[in-house]
Amino acid sequence: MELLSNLAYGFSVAATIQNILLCLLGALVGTLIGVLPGIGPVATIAMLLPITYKLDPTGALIMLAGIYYGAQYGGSTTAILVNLPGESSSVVTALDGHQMAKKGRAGAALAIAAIGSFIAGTFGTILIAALGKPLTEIAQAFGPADYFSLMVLGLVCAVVLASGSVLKALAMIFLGLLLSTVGTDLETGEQRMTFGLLPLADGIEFVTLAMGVFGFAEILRNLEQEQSRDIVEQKVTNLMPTRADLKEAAPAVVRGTLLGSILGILPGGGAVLAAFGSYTLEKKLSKTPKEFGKGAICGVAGPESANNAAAQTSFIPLLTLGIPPNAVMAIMVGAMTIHGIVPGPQIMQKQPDLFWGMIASMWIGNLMLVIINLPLVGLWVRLLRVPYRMLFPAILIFCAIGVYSINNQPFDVMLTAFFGLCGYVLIKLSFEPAPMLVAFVLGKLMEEKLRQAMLLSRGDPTTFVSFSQHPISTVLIIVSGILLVLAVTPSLRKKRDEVFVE
Amino acid sequence: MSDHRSQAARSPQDIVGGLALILIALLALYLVNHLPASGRVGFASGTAPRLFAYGLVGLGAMVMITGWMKEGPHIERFSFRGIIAILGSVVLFALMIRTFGLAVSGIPMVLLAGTAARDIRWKEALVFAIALTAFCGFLFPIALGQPIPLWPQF
Repeated sequence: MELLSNLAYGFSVAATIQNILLCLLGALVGTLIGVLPGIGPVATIAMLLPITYKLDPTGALIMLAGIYYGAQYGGSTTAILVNLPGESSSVVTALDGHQMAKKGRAGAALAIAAIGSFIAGTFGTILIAALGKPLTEIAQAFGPADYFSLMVLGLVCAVVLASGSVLKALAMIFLGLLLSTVGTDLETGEQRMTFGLLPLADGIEFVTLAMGVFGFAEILRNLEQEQSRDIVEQKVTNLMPTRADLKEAAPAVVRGTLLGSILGILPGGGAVLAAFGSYTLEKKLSKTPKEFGKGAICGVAGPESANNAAAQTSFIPLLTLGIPPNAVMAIMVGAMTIHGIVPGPQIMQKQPDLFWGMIASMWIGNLMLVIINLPLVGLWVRLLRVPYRMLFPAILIFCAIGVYSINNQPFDVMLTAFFGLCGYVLIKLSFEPAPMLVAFVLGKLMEEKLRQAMLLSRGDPTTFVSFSQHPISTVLIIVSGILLVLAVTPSLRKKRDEVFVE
Repeated sequence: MSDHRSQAARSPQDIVGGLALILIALLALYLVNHLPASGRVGFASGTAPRLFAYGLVGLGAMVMITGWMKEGPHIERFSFRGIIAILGSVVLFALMIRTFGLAVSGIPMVLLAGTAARDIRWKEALVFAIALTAFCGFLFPIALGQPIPLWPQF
C-alpha cells in the first residue's frame, strides 16, 4: 500500500515537536477568529503571512492551513451560542443550533458539530491523500492550452456557484481578470495600467485586494447592522449527545461530508456553499421538515460536516493542479510563493515532505480541534463578551500592520483602503466579490498559458477547441459552455436560488 | 416626479453598477491605448487587457439593460461616517507610519476608527487606543521581529 506508506511518512514529518506546535497554534488562532464575528480566515492568513518568513515552508503551511479549518470549528460555537455566524460558513448552523441551545441542548449541538466536523475532516484528509497521486499524474499531461481551458472551467464554476445574478457574477469575473493584468508585462516588460506608480509595477498585491474587499468592507457593513448578541447564558453542560441524537445525526454527517467534499474541490465553492447546500439537502430529505429552524439536530450535523469537508478538499486543486479554488486557497498561493514553492503537480515530487506532512497535519489538527472546542468552550464564550466597538479597531490595526509588512509599503495600505471602498460599493450594488477574487488570482496564470498556447499554435485561436490537437482542452471548453448555458436556464436557476434563500 | 423616476430606473442597483463597470473598462482601454493590440502570433502586451475590458464593457451594458427591464431593489444608503472613520483611519496609518512609527501612529488610528461606532465612549476609547498600540508595538516589531518602524524617525 503506497498510500499508507506515504501517509506514514507524512505523519513522521507532521509529528515533530515544532510542527505539532505550529499546527496547534494554527488551530487555536483559527478557532479564535472563527468564534469572533467580523474577521475571517482570508484576513487572518494575510495578516500572518509576513510572520511565516522565518519558518520553514512545511511548518508555515501547516500553521496557515490550521487557521482555515480551525475557523470552521470555531464558527459553529458562536452560531450555536449567540445566533451570530462567527464565520460566514456557519450562517446556517445558527438556524437550528441556536434553537437547540435555547432548549437547553447547547451541549448536544456543540458536540454534534464538533464530531461531524471531525469525521468530515478525516474523510477529507483521506480524500486528498488518495486523489493526490492520480490527479498529479493527469496534471502532468496538461499542456498550456489544457491548463487555460481548465481555468476557464474553474471560472465558469465560480459563476454558477455564486449567489445572485449570473450576469453580475460573470461581470465580476471579467473585472477580476482585468485587475490581474495591471503591472509589468511578463514578456515585454512594458508597464500596463500602473499610472506610473512604482509599487504597482509588480501588479496589485493580492492581499490588498482581498483584505480591502472582504475585510474592510465587511467591517463597514457590520457597523451598519445593529447587532444584538443573544448569548445563551446558562452553563453548557452535557457535552455528550445521547444515543438517539447520534443515530439521528449520523446519516446527515455522512451526506454533509460527501456533499462538502465535492463542493470543496469545485472553484468558487468552498465551505460557505457546502454548508448552504447541505442544509437544503437535509431539509428536503427529512421526514419532519417542519422541525428545521426549530432545533433539528440534522440541521447542525449536516452543514457543519459539509463546511469542514469542503475546507479540507479545497486543498486538492491547489496541491495537485496549482489552481486555487477559492479566496483562502488563493492566499495560500501567496504563502507558498513567499517560500519559493510553485503550487502544482511538481510539489508532490519535489517536496514530498511538504505535501504529505501537510496532509497528515490536517488530521492531527482536526483531532486537536475537537479538544480545543469542546472542553474549552467556556473560554471562547467569554471572548464573545468583548464588544464590537473594541473588536473592529483591533482588527483594523492588525490588518494595516499586516499589509504594510508584506512589502514595507505604505502605498499597499492606501490601496487596501481604496479596495475597501470598492468592496463596500459592490455590496451596496449587490455584486458578489468572491468570483472577482478567484478571477484575479487565476488571471495572471491564464494570460500566461493563453499566450503560450497561442505561440505554440502560431496564433490560431481554434487550437483550444481542436479535438485532434488538444482533446482535453476541447472537452473542458465544451463542459464549460454547457454549464454556462445551464446556469442561465430558468428552471435550473430557480433551483439554484432556492439553496441561497434561507 | 418620484413616479416617473421609479418607472424610468427600475433597478437602480444594476443601472449604476453596470455603468460603473463600463467606466472602469473604458478607463482601462484608455490606459492601455499605447500598448500594441496584437503581435506576431496574435498576442502582445495589450491584447489580454483589451479582451477583458471589451468583455467588461459588454457585460456592464447587459447588466444596465436588464436593470432597465426588470424591477430591482433600491440602493441602500451609504454610511459616510463609517467610510470616513474606518477607511480614513487606515489612510492615516499609511501616511504616518514611515515618519512617526507604530508607537505614535497607532493611537490616532485606533481613535479615529473607534468613532465609527455609535456607542463610542471617549475615555474608554482613549485607554483602549493606548493599550492596543502598546500591545501591537510589543507583538509585531519586538516579539515577532517584523521590520515595521516602532519609534518616530526624523
